[in-house]
Amino acid sequence: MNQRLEAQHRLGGLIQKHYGRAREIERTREQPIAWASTGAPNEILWAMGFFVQFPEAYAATCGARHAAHAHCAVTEARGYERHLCTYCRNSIGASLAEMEGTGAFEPLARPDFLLVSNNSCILITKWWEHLSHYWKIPMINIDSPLVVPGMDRGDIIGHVKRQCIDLIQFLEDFTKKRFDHDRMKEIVENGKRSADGYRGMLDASRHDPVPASFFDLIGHNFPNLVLRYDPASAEHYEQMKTELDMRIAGGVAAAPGMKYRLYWDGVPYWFAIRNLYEKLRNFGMSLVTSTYFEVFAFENLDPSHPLDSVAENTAMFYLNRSVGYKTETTERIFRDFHLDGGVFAYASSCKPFSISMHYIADTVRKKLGAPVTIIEGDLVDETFYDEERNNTKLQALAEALAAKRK
Amino acid sequence: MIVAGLDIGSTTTKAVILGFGQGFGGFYSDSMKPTGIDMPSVSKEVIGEAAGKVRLSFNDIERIVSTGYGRISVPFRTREMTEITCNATGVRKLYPQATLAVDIGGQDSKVIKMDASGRILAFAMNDRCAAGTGQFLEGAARTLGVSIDDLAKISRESKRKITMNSTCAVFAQTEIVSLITGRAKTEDIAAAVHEAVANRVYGLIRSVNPEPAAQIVMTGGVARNAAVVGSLERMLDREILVPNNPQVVTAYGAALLAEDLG
Ligand code: SF4
Repeated sequence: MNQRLEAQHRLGGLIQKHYGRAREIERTREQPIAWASTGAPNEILWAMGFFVQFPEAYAATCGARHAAHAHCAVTEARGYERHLCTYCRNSIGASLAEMEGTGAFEPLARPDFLLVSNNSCILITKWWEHLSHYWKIPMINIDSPLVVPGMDRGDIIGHVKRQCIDLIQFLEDFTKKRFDHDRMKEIVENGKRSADGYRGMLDASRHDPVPASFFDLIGHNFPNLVLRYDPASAEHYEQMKTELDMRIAGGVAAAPGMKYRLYWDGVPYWFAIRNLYEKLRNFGMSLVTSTYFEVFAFENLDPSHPLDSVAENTAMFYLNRSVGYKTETTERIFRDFHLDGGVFAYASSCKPFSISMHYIADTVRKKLGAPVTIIEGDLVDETFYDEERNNTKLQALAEALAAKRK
Repeated sequence: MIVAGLDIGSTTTKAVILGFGQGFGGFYSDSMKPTGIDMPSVSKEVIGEAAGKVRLSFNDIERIVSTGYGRISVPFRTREMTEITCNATGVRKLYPQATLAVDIGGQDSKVIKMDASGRILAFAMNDRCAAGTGQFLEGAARTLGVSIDDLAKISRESKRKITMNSTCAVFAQTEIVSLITGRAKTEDIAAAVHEAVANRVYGLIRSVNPEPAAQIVMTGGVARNAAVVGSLERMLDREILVPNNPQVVTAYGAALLAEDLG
């Protein structure tokens, strides 16, 4: 964060352009607008000419800009309870504020259609259902069974693919347009190139000293999530890779003098990113990488089988994988990225992310002998953030890492 | 060399002074006071008092390791360290075989799991809720109109088991009031309160997955409460060791770490 990457400026431009375009389309209605979940088969929407926005990414932005609280208050006033997923509360609250004209923080462009998949959690479908109810627009849920041992991978992908075909039929009626297979292929091609670039960006962090920290990289999920249909996304990662390689060649560190390389587990506490970055840096700890990035990897895209690979991408979404798979992935990351310890960020209102955290942390500690700590907070609700105790836990982690080096 | 360990807890500030090296032969002194809002002043007073007991003054202290939630509030510290490391250090010095330390203070409870060499393997702290802490006991004593020391004594008379449903300190107060209204006996309520605290701490202990044969040491203000210790011993089906002055063990560990800083 202290050595600003050129890529940060470019990212700012991409984000601004996307939201500017959203405003324009909202006015002109030249394209239909969809709101979609991260793991849904969104290539289909892009191929059908939709402009796609992401309520989850919007919630993260609201969290980082300390605006989520006001949206959550709107839902609380209507009896939605505090322990409900705060991404969901933020989104419903912002939508209600928009409809009622009380104003939301930089709201998403009003949607015509909603697409969701239950591959991240069950609650998300209920969240979309409420959006559908309030906005009075159709929604489709792509059911994606959990990829757990004993389930046949081919069966799961087939099940998702059949729903993708139904989705296409629905959208053809909805938009009065034919599905364009060539356009789909092109979009999957762009997506594949973007996903490869994204992986290249992540892999640069294997280097010691790390050329860009977790905090530097975290915003760069945006292009691969929101813009991967557009060649601009791949170009962004390709240029970024060049910049990171130059740092590696020149021995430039994201933050000089760091003693320990750390893993982060879970969704970032968006409102506390800077605070955490500074705290960790003071203890000589650098956050290197996280399995959180896997959520935005979209690695199964294959232009030679556009629809199958989009179905596979949806079915094999990281959050839809078994605890065993997630544990193995975490262990692998610890080894490949030469990590010394881990911070596991429990999110009070997101149980799907947090439920396996204790198990994974414990396994890493026992199998790899790496000191770990579990801190407590939330994705966007600042009132769940337990600063005092978290400070103690992070310092205790630093002390454990020092004791281990002795 | 004269060093101090300073543990600034949410309710009480504790200091331990150690003298060692040539010409001293070694000495120990301690003191404590309510924390209040001016942590640096209280800390100076507590260290000064402990120093006074061995005819020294605050200015004679050469190194200070601060710990506890106010650890960074004192500008005169040589270094700050967490309660986790300090408590484990103090416990191991007193009980070299201990592999599980349970520390229950005013607003915090923590459990530290160590290996045979004393290296910290895992730790757990209570969440924001005060249910498994001294504050919970204090609130209950206030509602029952007895002193905190009497609360434990009274509970020994209990003949009838009541289970408290509330795991939250605030709701528990309401529950106690309704138990009083329902004519439950004070001693039975007192016993239920201790059981509730022990239950929360038991959960915390289980979360670090202790070795079945772990030697368990309990420290912190609540360790002086025989009823909580007794309840926990029954739940764990194991003996719990409690040092003579359980409240200053973390400060003692901080002083030992100050000695090591050299
Ligand atoms: S995974 Fe967590 S943040 Fe995402 S919708 Fe489900 S509960 Fe909310």
